[in-house]
Amino acid sequence: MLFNSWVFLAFFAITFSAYLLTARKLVLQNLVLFIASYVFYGWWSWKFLGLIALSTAIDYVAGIKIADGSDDATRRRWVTVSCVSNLGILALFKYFDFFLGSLGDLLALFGLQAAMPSLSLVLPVGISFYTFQSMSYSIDVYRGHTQVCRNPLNFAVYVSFFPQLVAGPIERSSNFLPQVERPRTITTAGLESGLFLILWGLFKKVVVADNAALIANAVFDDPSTGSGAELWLGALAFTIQIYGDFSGYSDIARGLAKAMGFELMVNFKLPYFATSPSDFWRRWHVSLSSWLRDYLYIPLGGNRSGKYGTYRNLMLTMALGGLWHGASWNFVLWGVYHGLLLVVVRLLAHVKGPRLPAKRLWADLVRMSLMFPLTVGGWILFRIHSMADLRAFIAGAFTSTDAEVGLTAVVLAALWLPVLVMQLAQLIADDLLVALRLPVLLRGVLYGLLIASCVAFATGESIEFIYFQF
Amino acid sequence: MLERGYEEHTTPRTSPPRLLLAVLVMALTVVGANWAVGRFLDTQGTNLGYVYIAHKWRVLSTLDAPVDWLVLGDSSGSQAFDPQVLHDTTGKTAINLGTIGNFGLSDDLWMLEEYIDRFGPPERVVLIHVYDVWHRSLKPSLIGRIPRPWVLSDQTAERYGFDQEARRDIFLNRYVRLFAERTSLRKSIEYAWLRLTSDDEELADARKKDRALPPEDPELTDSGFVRMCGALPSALKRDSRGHMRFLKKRRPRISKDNREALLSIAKLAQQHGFPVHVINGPLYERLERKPEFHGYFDRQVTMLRTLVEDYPMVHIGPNVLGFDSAHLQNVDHISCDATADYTRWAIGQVLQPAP
Repeated sequence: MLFNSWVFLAFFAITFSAYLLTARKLVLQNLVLFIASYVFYGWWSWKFLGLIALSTAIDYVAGIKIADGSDDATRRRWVTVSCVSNLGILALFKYFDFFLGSLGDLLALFGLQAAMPSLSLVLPVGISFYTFQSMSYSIDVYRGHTQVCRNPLNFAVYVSFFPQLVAGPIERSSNFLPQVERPRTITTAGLESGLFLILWGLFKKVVVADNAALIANAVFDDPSTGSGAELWLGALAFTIQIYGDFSGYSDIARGLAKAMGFELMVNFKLPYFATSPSDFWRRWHVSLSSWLRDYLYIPLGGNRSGKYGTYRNLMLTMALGGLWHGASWNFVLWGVYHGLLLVVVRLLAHVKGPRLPAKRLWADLVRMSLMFPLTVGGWILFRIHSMADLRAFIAGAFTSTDAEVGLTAVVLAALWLPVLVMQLAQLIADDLLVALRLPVLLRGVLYGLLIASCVAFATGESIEFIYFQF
Repeated sequence: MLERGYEEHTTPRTSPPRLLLAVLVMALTVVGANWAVGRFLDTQGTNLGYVYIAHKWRVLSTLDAPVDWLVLGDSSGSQAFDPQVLHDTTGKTAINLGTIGNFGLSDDLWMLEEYIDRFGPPERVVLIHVYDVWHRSLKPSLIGRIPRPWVLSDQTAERYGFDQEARRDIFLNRYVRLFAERTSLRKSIEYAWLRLTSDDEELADARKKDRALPPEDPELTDSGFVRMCGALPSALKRDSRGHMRFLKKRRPRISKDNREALLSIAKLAQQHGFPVHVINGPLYERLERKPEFHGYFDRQVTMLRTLVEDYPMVHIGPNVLGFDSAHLQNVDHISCDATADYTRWAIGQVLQPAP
């Protein structure tokens, strides 16, 4: 069930009505959320409901065992059970075929032919998101960062809350569980903020991302046929597509939650205005990057492992972060690329020489214009299908310059312009909800224009959100 | 400077009445945008078929006096029969309400019914259709383009046996053009941009490359006649191949919709006592000379004559006027330099009907 579908509209209308009707009784309201979330997930495939229930049950029990554990060994054992179970589920469904296939390829390099077994399992939607969310709860209970949840219904809602179930944000139990456990207040401010986020998210997905996808797909489906200008335009189109798609989904998720009285974490903070690789990761997919920081990078030693240890930790975290996005080497390459960027910037910090001044707008603009092409370069690695495609892209991108891309460039610019205008306003005001400062009549006009654009510029069939596959 | 928190700080200053107002304005904006898109597509749209439909129904609406000849049919006739030439030649008045082939004869019937309601029967009715229109069935979505309230009536649905899906299509095409015509809208915006930023040569080049763009901007006259000038040899070649494939593959057939529409027109003709002349649209002469064409066309004429044999006021024309490539935009649409010839020929066919 996609957010940008009529089915979802009907589903949300029914769910929201039931949610309002049960507002006086928290248990009933949470039951509504639980049932709705399982219907939402089961709409895609009811067979995989068992998997999400399993992940929920494991961490529910693990959380209690950890909290009640009399000694550290018991507590450690149960947090290990949680991590191994969740990562095991993820490995089985997402990475088993990839690792064995890669092993087969490696053996073949040495002249050893081995028939590797393949499970060919269907990848359950959103598995990377809910396993990480569920597992982080057990770790947080172990670390004492969050209270144990003894109510199975509340915990099940925490894991399966439908707005963010399949594509995040990956919520932390310390932020989200208390909201599940306490009665929510629905306010007109929350409703209107939610309405704006839903419409703005839909606009970014339906108008910006789906239309940019038409340009990007035409290029990346066969990079060997594109000219230099076309390839770069395709890369820019994908840069726009992935931002519109993913941040659009996050906005809709947050808007739906806000309307119901929940606050989910902000997942995107104007990432293409980043001034350095580390700044980029403070702005892009914040819920994942902070998850990787807290549960992988810091436990590895973070930046307290000496210079080279820090570089190793950065590379490892980013490579695994890349792999989280999909069982394919190009995602690993993308992670390694970002790891390298982080390392190189740290190395450059030690080099003596002239530096751009801090806290100067012009200097930040220079940094930003250096960072943006690097980000686009990363997306090329993310989007290509194979190493052969990457070679073809690089060969074409730096050799051929002759192409007619006039109108395509105009279309792409037209798609990006409304987002850019909004982002500049957000940037200047340092407020992601700056649009809500408009007078009420102008807000109404803005909402109307967003709806009209979604209706008029939808590309036809619903194109699935990119991040569902991760 | 750019490294800030970027959180959400604003809580909108709102209240239930304010939120209601915002939603109301939102709804009005959507309705307004839908209306504006409709206006834009009716005048600047790249889907010329829809532009013609809007224009012809507007011509009928604004007609303030009866005419002698009511010319109906498809776009080939719309672009070929010039009422001014009729007036210059015979002193008779006419309007040309030909729309598009995909309507078949249904649109002819509806326009004729409306005309009779307002002005009584005309002196003559001329139906100009290309040979390959007769087999086509009516598309419900097209009916939605007709700016009349009856398109959504139960009576219309019953008359044409429309199911719920067809009625939904009609509704969307009639009232939600923002959605129903989004492909045209996209193309039309692209076209408007091209016209704004390109010189004549670049525009001509873009039109050649993109078949979704109109070959030129049509001149829509008050008499309904659509003036399009300039031959298009490459479009003609492509279209000609398509027609040959059609002729080799298909046998002549009169669709149910066209059969019923023609019989309804014939009944009106009998009832009110005016002649109806079915005339063939212009055609590429090389196609017209093909035996495949005549094998198809002659049988079709026989079928049509059999269909209306009880209605002596209906005359089925057995002739076709061929044009060379210098005067054609495709197989059945002539350039403006040939319209006088075609109109005079059509007048001849009407005034001296074949036995």
